[in-house]
Amino acid sequence: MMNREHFARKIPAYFDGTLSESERTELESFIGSNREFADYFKLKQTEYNNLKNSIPHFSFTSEAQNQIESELKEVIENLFHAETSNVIEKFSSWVKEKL
Amino acid sequence: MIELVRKKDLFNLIQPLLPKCHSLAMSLLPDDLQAQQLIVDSFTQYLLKEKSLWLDRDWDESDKKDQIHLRRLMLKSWIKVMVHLGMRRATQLQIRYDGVEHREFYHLDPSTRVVAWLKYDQGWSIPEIESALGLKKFEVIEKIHNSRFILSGGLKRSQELSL
Repeated sequence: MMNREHFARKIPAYFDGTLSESERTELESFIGSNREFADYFKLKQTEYNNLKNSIPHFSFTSEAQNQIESELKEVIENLFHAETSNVIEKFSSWVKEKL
Repeated sequence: MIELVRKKDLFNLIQPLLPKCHSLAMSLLPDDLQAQQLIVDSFTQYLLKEKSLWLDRDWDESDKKDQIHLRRLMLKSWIKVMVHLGMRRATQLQIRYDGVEHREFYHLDPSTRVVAWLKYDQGWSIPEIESALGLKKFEVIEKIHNSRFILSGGLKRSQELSL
């Protein structure tokens, strides 16, 4: 029973990926050798996987997508335009210096 | 000509990332307009910060592996900017979520919502979350535990027990 509680407490950390290599191996070995605990582990695994379903997924409407894409294209355009203007300005200053 | 190609390629690179970014933005700011503005503003900030990467880089647009690698790199950096900007706005704007479906999720504070999204929805590791949010390991783990407790209905159960 003590063993079972000890390993049951390790399950959340196992899913979080915070157990050390040796602790993982110990837990997996216990799961493999204890049928009842393996069933309990599967139950916890299902609960853990269900957490993903509690993260909201909002539909990305085509209208919203088009709006955002158009604004992002403008941002990219402005970036290149600013750099081109910068280059032209620098070239003009260089030419003025030379003349 | 090269510039035209680069602009187009840069856009093609970010386009598949938009649904993910929209999901993160809505996690932070559950309001359509605010979320859209966050995506655009964070991308602008990201691009200004990394402009030399995109203006000077000579990448092979036909190389799929290169594209995947660049997209991954871009997503991680963009998310970092979005999270910092979004958390600031979430605190300032205090948008109330009026829906019924994800009430537990929006019960979490903004930074915990982001940790939950990165961990459970995107499958990021704890070191990756630490780096993206500038948090210490114990802070990330604490937020993961808190989110798990609330999202699995733990808060509701303990409130019922105390009645």
